[in-house]
Amino acid sequence: MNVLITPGPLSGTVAVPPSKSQMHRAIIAASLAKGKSVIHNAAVNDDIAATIAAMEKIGVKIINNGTQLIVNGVSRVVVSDDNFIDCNESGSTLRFILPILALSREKVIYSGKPSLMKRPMSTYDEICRQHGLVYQQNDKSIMVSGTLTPGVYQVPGSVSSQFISGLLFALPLLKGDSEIHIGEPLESKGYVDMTVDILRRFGIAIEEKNGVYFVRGNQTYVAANLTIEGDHSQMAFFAAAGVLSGDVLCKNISVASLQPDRRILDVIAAMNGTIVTREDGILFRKSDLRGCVVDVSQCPDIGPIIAVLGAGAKGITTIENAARLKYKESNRLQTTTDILRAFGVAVEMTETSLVIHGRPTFEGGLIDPAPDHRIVMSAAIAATRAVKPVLIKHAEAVNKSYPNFFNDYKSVGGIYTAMEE
Amino acid sequence: MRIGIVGLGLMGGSIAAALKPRHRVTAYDIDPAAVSLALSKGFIDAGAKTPEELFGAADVIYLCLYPRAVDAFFERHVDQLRPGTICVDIAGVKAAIVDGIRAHLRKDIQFVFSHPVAGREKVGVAFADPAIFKGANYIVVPTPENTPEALETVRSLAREMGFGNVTDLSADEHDAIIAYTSQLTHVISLSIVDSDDGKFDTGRFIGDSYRDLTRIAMINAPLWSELFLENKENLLARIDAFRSSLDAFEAMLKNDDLDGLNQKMTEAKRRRSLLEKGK
Repeated sequence: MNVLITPGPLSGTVAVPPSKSQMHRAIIAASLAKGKSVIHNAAVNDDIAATIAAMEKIGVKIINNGTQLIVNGVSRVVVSDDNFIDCNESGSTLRFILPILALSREKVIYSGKPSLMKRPMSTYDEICRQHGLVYQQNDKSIMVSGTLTPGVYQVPGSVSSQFISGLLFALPLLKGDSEIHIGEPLESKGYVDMTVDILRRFGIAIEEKNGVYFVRGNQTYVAANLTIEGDHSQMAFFAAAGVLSGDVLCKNISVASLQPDRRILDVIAAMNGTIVTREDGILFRKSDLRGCVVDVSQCPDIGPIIAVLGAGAKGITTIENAARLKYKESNRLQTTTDILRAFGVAVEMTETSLVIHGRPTFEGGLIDPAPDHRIVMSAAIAATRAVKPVLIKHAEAVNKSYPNFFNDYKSVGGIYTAMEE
Repeated sequence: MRIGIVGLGLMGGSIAAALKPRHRVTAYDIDPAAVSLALSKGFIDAGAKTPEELFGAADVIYLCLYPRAVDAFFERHVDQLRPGTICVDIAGVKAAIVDGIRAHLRKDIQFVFSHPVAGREKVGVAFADPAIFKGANYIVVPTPENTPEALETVRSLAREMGFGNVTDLSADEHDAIIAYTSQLTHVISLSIVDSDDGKFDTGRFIGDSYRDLTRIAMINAPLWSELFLENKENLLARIDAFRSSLDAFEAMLKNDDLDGLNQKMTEAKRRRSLLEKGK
């Protein structure tokens, strides 16, 4: 689908969709807890659907009530259906469930879209080799057989935190105690904190000291009810629209959140953006933004939209420690640079950073982003500042994380038409 | 977006005022007073002193000129337009200008022919009012050179101005239907006023029917003379059809044909009531 945007400011109110990161974790934890758990403020997108389908393979029953998921969990991980798991394009699904299904004593085969299979997985390859599991990967699938055992797991801190989270889900169910040793300073620690928080709410205790996670064995997940927070990484798009173009109120959002992407609030404040915390949400006022230096090592997913903010800010914005942006649905260092340049913004790209020269208005015309949800949404928000009509290709990519994105875009005064290819 | 207006009259001013809330609007007019007035009324963000200055400040440019001036203006300035510019005309006739403009087109420029079927019986930017577009009809006349994106941009802007129906028509279809819905109605309105023999002080005896039928006789004469002449064949055909209908009335009156009159009125009423069904 192509979307033709008649650029103009956005203003109004957006109900921010629930946090995808919390959703994955809550579904998995509820699935491992025998009995009924209810997850409120839920929304199922392509990635969440992949996690649900994977949990159903171990006999979990999940009912989707629209805004509620009712999860009937299992106490033992037994692959009750076939042993093929389609992770579609969801890195969270693949990395979270691989250690969990390694509790099943079955051979399990994981498949997914080519872009998923290109994302780094060597951490698990390494772990499997050290702990006596068989790990085989080609460009279409990953095969794992053998059983996870208690012990000491070494994980480098520079890789995706999803590997650590995956182990944290699985290790408490083993007969013995385990430790996870993080080799270097842990990037994206906030996501591991979120995992530990969810585990705690489902009765699992994890302790962390000096880069070591201590996981007692023989623990039991306890069914629980949980309300999912609004997603700060999705809020970031309309927050950016608010400070770039007009006042936008984001509802369903918790200021005191463990989501690492809540850092978008700090970034906007550092750029001189006006943020008003209200009872019904957070109001982002149109502001004269100033460029600044942003370290995105802990919040790579909001890197592209921070780059758009920088493009609309006065002066230069530098996005640092951004190497992990290269290993997302697209190489986001490159694809962010590509869309900003298409909007006429000057960008210098290195292996780990972006230097963005802000300008008051953007060009428009054809924007051909990588088919990557966050890049497409960033382009649509950048369009608010464009002087010409903007045609964005691959707009359907938003379905991955925010299927309602363009409806919300319209509800705050965005004007667009879906065009045939 | 950056919108340009060439010609700040009633229509140019109304389009500017309708789009200004979401867009940056720059306007050019040969009369600097029109630009000053539009600025003071808040219809535009900026005035351009020359067409060239306007071309640098706008990406979608509405040419709000009389039909014969549209082609002349475009031909004179086409080389100065920046690549990617979308030009939009708003003239009330189409076949007479489409071919002339297409002959001067550049490959890197889009020209979208359109007709906002709206207005009021006043002249000049002083009377501009975006409310005249609310729920009105907007016609787009696509050409083979138009990209879907340029056409949709113009349609989208029309909806943004408040137009209710946005419809595509060919130039010939446009002129044929407009000869009836717009031009013939003006001819009749003018004829009603013109046929007053002046024996009475008419103003003391008019009611809503006279007022409704003659509002549009308060006409912008130079503009409408051009519109009529540029669509002469269609308008003549419509006048002919209208004359037949008048003749029929005349014959029924002469023949004291009560049933015939009744029937004709009932039929016309039925057809009129179907026109805006669902509105």
